[in-house]
Amino acid sequence: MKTLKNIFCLSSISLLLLSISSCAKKSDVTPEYQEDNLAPFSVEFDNIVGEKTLSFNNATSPYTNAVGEKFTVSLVQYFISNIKVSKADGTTYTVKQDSSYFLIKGADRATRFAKVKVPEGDYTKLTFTLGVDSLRSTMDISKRTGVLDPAGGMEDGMYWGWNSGYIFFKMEGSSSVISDDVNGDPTGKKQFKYHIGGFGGYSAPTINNVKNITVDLTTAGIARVRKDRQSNVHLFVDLIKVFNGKNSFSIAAHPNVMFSDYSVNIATNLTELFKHDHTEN
Amino acid sequence: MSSVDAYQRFTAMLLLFGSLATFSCKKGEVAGTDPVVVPHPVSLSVPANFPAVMNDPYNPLTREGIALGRMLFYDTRLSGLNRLSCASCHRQDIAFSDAAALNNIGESGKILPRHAPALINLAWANNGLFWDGGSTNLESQAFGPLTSADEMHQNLTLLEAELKQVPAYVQQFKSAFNSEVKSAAIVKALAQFERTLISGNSRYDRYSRKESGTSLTTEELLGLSLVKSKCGSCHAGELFTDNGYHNNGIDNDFTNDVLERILMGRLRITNNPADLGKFKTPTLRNVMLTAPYMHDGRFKNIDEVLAHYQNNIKVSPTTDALLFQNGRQAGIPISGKEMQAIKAFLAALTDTDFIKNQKFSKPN
Repeated sequence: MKTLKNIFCLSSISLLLLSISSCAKKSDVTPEYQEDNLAPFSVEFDNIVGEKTLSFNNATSPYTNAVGEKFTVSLVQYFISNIKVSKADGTTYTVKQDSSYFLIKGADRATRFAKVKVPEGDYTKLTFTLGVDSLRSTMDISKRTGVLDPAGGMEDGMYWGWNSGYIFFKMEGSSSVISDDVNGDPTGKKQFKYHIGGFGGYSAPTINNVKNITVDLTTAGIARVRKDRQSNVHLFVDLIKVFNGKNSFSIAAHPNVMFSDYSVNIATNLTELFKHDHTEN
Repeated sequence: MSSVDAYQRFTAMLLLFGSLATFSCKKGEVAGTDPVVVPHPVSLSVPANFPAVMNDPYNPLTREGIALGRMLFYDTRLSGLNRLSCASCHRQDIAFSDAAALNNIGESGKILPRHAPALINLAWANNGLFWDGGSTNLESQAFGPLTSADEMHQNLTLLEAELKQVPAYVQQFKSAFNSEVKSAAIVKALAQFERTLISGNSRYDRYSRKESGTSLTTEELLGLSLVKSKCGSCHAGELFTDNGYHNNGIDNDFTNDVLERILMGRLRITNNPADLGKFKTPTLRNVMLTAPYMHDGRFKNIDEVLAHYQNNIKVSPTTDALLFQNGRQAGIPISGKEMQAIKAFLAALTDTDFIKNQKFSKPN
């Protein structure tokens, strides 16, 4: 008797819980905006190349850029930081900076989400930084923790020891169009390397490749952030735009771009990488 | 009724458990089981003829931090194969330089593209480290040689693990930074030790401070005035460096952009065409101990350096205007007698206390 009663009680509680959650989802009453009423929110960085999914060193099925060069990818990594969300009325919430740095590694699926907390609400706009802002880049070293920890950052090769700066975006791979001389890859491996960084300089202004990306969510689905679920903005990150963006270029002409004037052209292309596909609410 | 009771009890237990968990977390974060360690602040003893020094707000000097930095500076565990320490290329007996033009003792055995600089009066080096000023401070500078494949080639995560095996280190990181062994604390300790490497007790210094029983010879005094007038714009003040960057005319072709533009000077960092071929001004202090000279160690001795400034300057658009001391011609006129006087004065900048100071040497 007692057991039965217990079972009955438990199932009614579960039913109640279930009905609460489904109710909330259906009616979707927009909660009152309160800065401290935080709920989970994530941005998913889904790397693709043109119409294809990203696969590494896939020599049998290489990708082709706008100028017809075939290439494969061996490594893609980039920093995402300073996530902000905005409501239709313009209210903007900035994620607490200490919790807002992510290293997305193409080879590690687990890193594709930038998971943060923002107030419950309906958001029509997402803003984030591709790279690491100058403030953080020059901050006391012990405040640069997590993915920005120089210990970890260097292991992933995302830090330039020689200029105390982070590499914001790194893509490496190979293409048969690359020459074997000093203008290409003298090791004969036909590798290209794009290491894009530069936070604007410590004292004197220099290359600034920090890029702020704004994504309009109104077309493909606004983010309805509630405590009882995981609102996830699913972005496609189309790596073909590295080559085919506004400053389209040929791999043969620029197989290695690191900290140089030309990096500014590629950094501009990087702003075109992100396309909102859908939102899971 | 009984089931409701059980449910209530269960909820109460959960709440209790939750609050306990929160409580213990906070306790661990704030105090832990050990008492909070407060390291002892240290002020640098600045020679009276030196400019004032700024204490780094993020990394204030402490007795414990300096001691830890000294231990680390001489510890070969800091290299990937546990073969090299900082002192391998920064030897105290030659004012923390390495006597090699371009060293090849790094883990890869490759010849380095640049000459190891001497470590002297770094507490005043507030305008960038490395020959091009690429690193912003001593803390971030240390990551360069530590991780470079051609230098110490250390994986910092592995280094943390390795040092955690040494009880003395665990204890010293705790007492210096109230921290476990972390890479950020490693570089902070190294920076603290390096900031104590003050050289300010050469014969010139004692003369400058008018200490009794110290004088410079007539020749040395002539050398002093020549250095002040002919070299003092860059090798300025009592530190004998302006901490600036200049193209001193050792090259006039900087088109080679190998190794991420390492031969192009400060332009590599600032990306400013006006900085092409500019390298950091090293101090003249202990200069007689720190041969060879220039960012690539191309000049074997002071005579070659002086000969360069005299009549071998290669002119390019960024060549420093200060080098045009010969009418409109590049070069600094120096007679044979003046040359001897300059060398005599430079020798008076040698600080034997600095190279023998037990506080800077390998700890027991």
